[in-house]
Order: sequence, then structure tokens, then C-alpha cells
Amino acid sequence: MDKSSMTILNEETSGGLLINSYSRVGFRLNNGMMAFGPIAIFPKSILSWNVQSAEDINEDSLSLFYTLEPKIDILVIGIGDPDQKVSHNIIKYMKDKKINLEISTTERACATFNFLNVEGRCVAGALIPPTKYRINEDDILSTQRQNRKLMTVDEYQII
Amino acid sequence: MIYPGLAKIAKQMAASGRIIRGISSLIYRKGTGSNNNLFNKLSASSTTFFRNQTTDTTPTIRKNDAVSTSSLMDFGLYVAECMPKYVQKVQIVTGNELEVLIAPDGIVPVLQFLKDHHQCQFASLADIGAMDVPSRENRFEVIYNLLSLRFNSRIRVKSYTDELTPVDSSYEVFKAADWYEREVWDMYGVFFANHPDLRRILTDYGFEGHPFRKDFPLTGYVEVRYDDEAKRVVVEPVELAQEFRKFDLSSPWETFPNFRAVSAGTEEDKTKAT
Repeated sequence: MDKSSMTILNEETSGGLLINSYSRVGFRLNNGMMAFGPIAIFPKSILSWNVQSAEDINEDSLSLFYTLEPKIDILVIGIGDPDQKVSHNIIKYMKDKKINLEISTTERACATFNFLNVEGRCVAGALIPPTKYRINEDDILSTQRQNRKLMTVDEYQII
Repeated sequence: MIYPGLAKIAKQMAASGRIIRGISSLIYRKGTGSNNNLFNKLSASSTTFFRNQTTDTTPTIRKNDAVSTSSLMDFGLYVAECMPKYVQKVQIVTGNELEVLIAPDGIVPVLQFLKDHHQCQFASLADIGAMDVPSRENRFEVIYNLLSLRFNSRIRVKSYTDELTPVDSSYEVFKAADWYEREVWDMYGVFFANHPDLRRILTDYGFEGHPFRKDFPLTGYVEVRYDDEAKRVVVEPVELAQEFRKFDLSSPWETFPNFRAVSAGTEEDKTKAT
């Protein structure tokens, strides 16, 4: 009789980098690393990305992604907050370089990068940490567990 | 009348001639259980009498009776009177489907009206679709199908737009519009303003183009294959080994000789000159 088994993809570090969580300051990956600030994440490696905000995303700041070999298929851009504006000529610019773009908020971009990477597609992520996002009880508890502060009671809330 | 509903049903049945058959079947059922020979004789004779009398040549096709069609048209005209600013035309297609054609600014007000008004109560959004007619200036028609559970009836609301003009999202009126509008955006390229999350839903992540447009070819522009050398899936322009065959599906021989006289058109009632 076959038993059912369950594997949590984020806990397998051999398959590729996956983003476990994000916050205002950076991203936590499934191999235990924490990256601060905007990141350029690839299937098996990660770099810090030098942009201030979503307005700085232009051909220069995206030049890294089209100069690499093997050429990536999809670039997932996380612009941070939903109200950030991105210049639309980067879409056409990247299409000329044969790279497809998926532009969305960082929350959705992290998930998109995760499951595209798990599928084995050549994907890269350009993610800017969001400043405004919703949190729920579960997020607070897992953050406290991360920081090993589950048993302490803080006088001020973690936001 | 104690049972007004029954009277209405009786009136409708009389209008379509069904009441005669109804009585005969009622008598027949009573006859089989009882030992009343008179009833049995009557039922046997009446059913054979009416079976020979029927002139119905297409019993499997549902008949639209004029009463319900006219009451449907009355309701459509009522909606047009309530929302005169936006409603441009009301029509009944294929016998029993009510359509209301409106201007694109009026989508949210009309849908809100149809959902909340006590005599309408179309609380269920069944579908949102679109249609591309490239020859028109406003090439896309956005179509909302609504269902009223209270009154057991459906209505279709149609509006129009072109490639660049955004349409107001009906997400605040019907939450179900969320994914339907994403599908219309993905397939046709109709932009919905104030939609909470308008992104692709059916096409692949890097897909370009809007597949349901009439100018998008059936086989698409790109094909994907696994390249063994590069060990990845590559996207290449589509190559057909055989020339694309387009079949002309109309045959030189007439296929439905019984339906020569029947027209498949719509019954219209212009409320305004469009």
C-alpha cells in the first residue's frame, strides 16, 4: 500500500532559490539567506540590485538581465507597492531583447518567481521590497518564531 | 380567485392549446386505477382522438409561447424606461432571450440597477464575455449574462468599446466579475478600469497578443519545444509542416429543407434611434 507523502518545496534547497518571505527591508530565501534591499534573483544565485524605487527601473538598471547567458525567458518585476509607476517603454525594450516581462506588485511577483523557478523555467526576478502590505496573525507569529521571540512579550507591536 | 397562480397557468396553457392534452392525460391516469368503465372508455377514445388530431411536426423543439415572449419584452421596455440615459436598444433573440444594449458609461449603473431593483433582482452574474467584430469602429462587444433566481429568468447586457478605451469594472457590483474580466482582458485586450487585479489568467506568462481577436491566427505566432542541447524549453516562431487548410463548411447541397421558411432573426423593439 502506497503511503501519501508531502514535501514542502521551499525546504528543498537543491531545486533552485525560492523566496520564503518578504518584508519592508528585504527578502528571506529558502536556503536560509537574508537579502536586504532590492534584489536581482536568478534560478540559483542572487545579487543585490541598485535601484532606489520603481521609477528607477529603466534600460540601464535592467541591462544585467539581458547580458547574461543562458538567456532568460521571463523576467518577473516586482515594483513594490501597487501605486508605483513604471515607465512603459521598458516592456518594448525588453521585447526587442527577446525577454518577456511580468510586471506586478512585489507580493505577487515573489509567488510568480517561486513557481516559475520550481517548474524549471529560465526565469529571473527583479524585486523591490514593498513598503505597504497586509499582515495577519500567522505572519506575526512566524516572524516571532524566526527571531526566537515567541515566548517574550514585547511592549510595542511588531509592524 | 383563490389561486391566481393557477388561473395564470391555465390561461397560458389555453393560449398554447396544451390544456386539452392536459385534461385528456388526467382522465387517462384516473381511468387506469379505477374500475369505472365509462372513464376507461372515454380516456381510450379521447387519447386516440387527439393523437390523430395533432399537427405538431417538430415535437422535440421547444415552443416559445407568445405570452412569455411578450411579457419578457414588456420587462425589457420597463428596464429601458427606468434607465433611459444608457439603454440604447432592447431586443429578444432566438425567441426567448432578452438583450439590453447600453452605452459603455452605463455599465456599472445598469448592472447595479438590475441587481438591486426589486422587480429585477438579477443577483447572479453568470458570465462576462466579449465579441470581436473588426469591421466596426468599436470592435469589441462586452457581454454580461445575468440570472435572477427569484424570478427564474435571464438577461443579457451588451456594451461596446474599442481597443484603447477602458471600460469600468463591475467588480463592486458583482465580485464574480473579477476573473471574468481578467479573462476578457487576457483574450481580447479590453482594459477594465478600477479592477483590483487585472492581469493574465489563461495565457502563458510571457505570452504576447490577445488570442480571441479575429486577427490573431488560429495556430498562433510561436510554438514551444524542448531543446535537448540547451536543456530547456525554447520558444520559436510557429512552423506548420503542412499548409494550413481552411475548410469551407457550407456545402452546395441544402441540409435543412424543412427550415427554409424559418428565419433565425431577432425580434427588435427600438427604444431610441441608435
